[in-house]
Amino acid sequence: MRVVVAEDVMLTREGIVHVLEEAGIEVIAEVADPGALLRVVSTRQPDAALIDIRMPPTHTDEGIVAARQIRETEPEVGVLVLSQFLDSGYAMEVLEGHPERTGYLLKERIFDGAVLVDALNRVMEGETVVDPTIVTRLLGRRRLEDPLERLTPREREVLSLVAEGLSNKGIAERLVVTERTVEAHVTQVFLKLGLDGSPGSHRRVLAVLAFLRA
Amino acid sequence: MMPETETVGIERFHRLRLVPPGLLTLIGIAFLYWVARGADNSVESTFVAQSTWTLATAQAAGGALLLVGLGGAITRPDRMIGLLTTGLALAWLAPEVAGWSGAPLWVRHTALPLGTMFTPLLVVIGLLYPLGKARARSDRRLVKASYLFGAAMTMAVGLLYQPFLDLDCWRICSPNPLVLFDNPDVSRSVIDLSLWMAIALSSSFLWLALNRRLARSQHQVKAPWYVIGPIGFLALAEIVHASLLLPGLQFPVDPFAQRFMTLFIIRAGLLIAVGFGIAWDLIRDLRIRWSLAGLASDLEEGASGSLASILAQALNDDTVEVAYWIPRLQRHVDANGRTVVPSPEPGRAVTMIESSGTLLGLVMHSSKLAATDLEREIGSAARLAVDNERLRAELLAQANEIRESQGRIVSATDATRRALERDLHDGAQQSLLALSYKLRIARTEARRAGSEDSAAQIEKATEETLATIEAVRKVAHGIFPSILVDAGLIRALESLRERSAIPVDISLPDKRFSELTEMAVYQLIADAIEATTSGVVDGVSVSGTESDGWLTFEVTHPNLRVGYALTHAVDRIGALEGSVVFTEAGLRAEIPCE
Repeated sequence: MRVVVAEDVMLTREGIVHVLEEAGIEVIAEVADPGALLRVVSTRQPDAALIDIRMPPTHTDEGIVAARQIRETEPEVGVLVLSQFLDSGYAMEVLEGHPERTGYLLKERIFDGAVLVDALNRVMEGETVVDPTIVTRLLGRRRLEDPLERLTPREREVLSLVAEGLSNKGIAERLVVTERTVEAHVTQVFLKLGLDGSPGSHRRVLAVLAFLRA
Repeated sequence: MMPETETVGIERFHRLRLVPPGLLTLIGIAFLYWVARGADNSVESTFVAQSTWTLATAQAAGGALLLVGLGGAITRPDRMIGLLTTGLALAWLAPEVAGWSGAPLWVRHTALPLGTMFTPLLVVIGLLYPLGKARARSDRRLVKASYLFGAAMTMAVGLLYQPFLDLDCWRICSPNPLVLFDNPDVSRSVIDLSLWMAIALSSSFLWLALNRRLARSQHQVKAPWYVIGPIGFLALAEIVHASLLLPGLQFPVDPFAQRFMTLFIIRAGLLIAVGFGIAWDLIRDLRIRWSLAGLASDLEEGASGSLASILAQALNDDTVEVAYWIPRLQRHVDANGRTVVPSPEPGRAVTMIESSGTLLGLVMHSSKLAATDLEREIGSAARLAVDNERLRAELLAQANEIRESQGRIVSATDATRRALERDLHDGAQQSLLALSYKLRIARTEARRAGSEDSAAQIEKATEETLATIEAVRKVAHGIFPSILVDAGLIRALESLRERSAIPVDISLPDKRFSELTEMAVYQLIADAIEATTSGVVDGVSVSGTESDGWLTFEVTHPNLRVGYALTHAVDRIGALEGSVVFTEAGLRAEIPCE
């Protein structure tokens, strides 16, 4: 797997590169700003790009803008946005439009080699990745009339994995059950929450996230 | 009690000043009567006896000028125009009076030289109209010259002209009882001189007037065309008339030749036009003054709001603007305390309103209101009200100033907090991330070395580091919600809801507003939610709409009250000219959002 790392803080960038190389992933370029990132993506066709949400010049949403641009112009390139923000709003900004091959991961996860590599693999496979912490927070939100109370603990578990972007296969592996069982759970959850069927695993992430945020 | 004594003084002064125009008008009425009589029986010596046209126009011109003169003297005793117009009427009628054979000789011999004053008076009116003040030094000089030469030539004609010895005499040929010495050459020279004077004064006036029109100096009270135009043509007619009467052209002159008849009627017609022009201005001036008379009480009642709107109504001029000079702020403001920059435009005049030497304000209005001296018309009582409005404007300006500075402070605080938040993320948090990374490497190495205890401890340290990262994130978010700037109000409020301990229902227009507006709204809603949280389970509902550039929203919760916790947020809304009211249900806020 060939990836490009876009991160303006050298210390962090080096750490990421080190973790990736440890895991046997080839880092074809390290860049520190969106311009260089887009150049590398268009000329060297990496498999995926790891993008820091805050980059020069304004250190606001450059990472999000660059991620969207890559999704528009190079749909084959997976994008994983690294962020220090827990706000689901940022994740939505990144995923909206092109949820497939896109991920939003909290920065502190990146040095956990297993998590990072897993996220990259999932993005490469066309899945969507949403940081579990964000999903947990959304699920734990206080509501006046909580529709989630209608779900069984198992269904809640499935729901959170759907929100993290896992495919049925991924969920089945994670929960050590058959894919068919997962399918049944998902159908049940969608039915109970009044959500629209299963429009493909990455689209349903958005549906679930939107539901949880509403 | 200064203003009162001042008013009384002016009134007494006015009454005294009505005596001369009154007397002159009586003489004028007598002149009109004599001219009418002359038309009956002085075919040889008066124009009015020649035709009904000459009689009608001569009488109409004289009558109109007398009326306007008296009107001017009564309504505008402070200006010379009324008296001068009456004088012009007398000078116009005088030659015809002199020509009436039925009048007493002393009357005829007094009337004849009076006619010499016609051109000088015409020129003076042309120069002093409408305010009774000369506008330029050259004007003042010509006014002086007109008075001087006019008076001198009138005396000369009265004391040196002996019609008895004048072969060309026609109006009156009887001996002048006042004449100092009988000499035909002197007599003839006096008449010629008076004609030359008329030519000289008329030409000088025309030259000045044309130059002024061409130069088109702005922002000055200008004489209106409908008065200055006829006066100009009259001056031209005087030149033609005097030239025709000068010797050497055609001698002896037939006074009733067609060209003289025509010229007489033209002059009379132009005089009527002058009379109408002045009357028009007088009526307009009166109307404005009547409207302005109620200014003081209108202002005190605060009737239609501001001086500007009352003036606009009184002057029938929608473009009226009033600017108050605020010395402390070193700028002009309008009645609402907003900064205005008085920029003179073509066709606009500026009137300064002063009170005992201090500039109260500027009134910018159409320069067509030439005949009314606004500065004078805004009387002492109104001036007090104007000063009140100025003080009010000053207070409002200061309030605006404070609000603006409040806004600047808020912006500066925001910028600082944002920088702080960024420092935390890019500094502390990145260092902690790097630390967690090093700890992971250390743990891996400890494991590799078989030191499970160390590995466990390092693992614990890693977890603590991650917890610290989480803590730093919370602090950073509290200092400044980045998502507000990055993704907008709605997204930021959604995040707020994700973190909130109580259910929050949000329904606001999903669009971006200015950063300051979004900050203010966010802060108020965040603080309101924070304030309601303690020990309550009820949800908070936030709903709002945007219309006409205003975002109106309500935060509903039973516990929401006026409280210290919201002061800062309410101030922020206020700094943007918005407002917050606390209601039974919670609070309602309005804020401009364009």
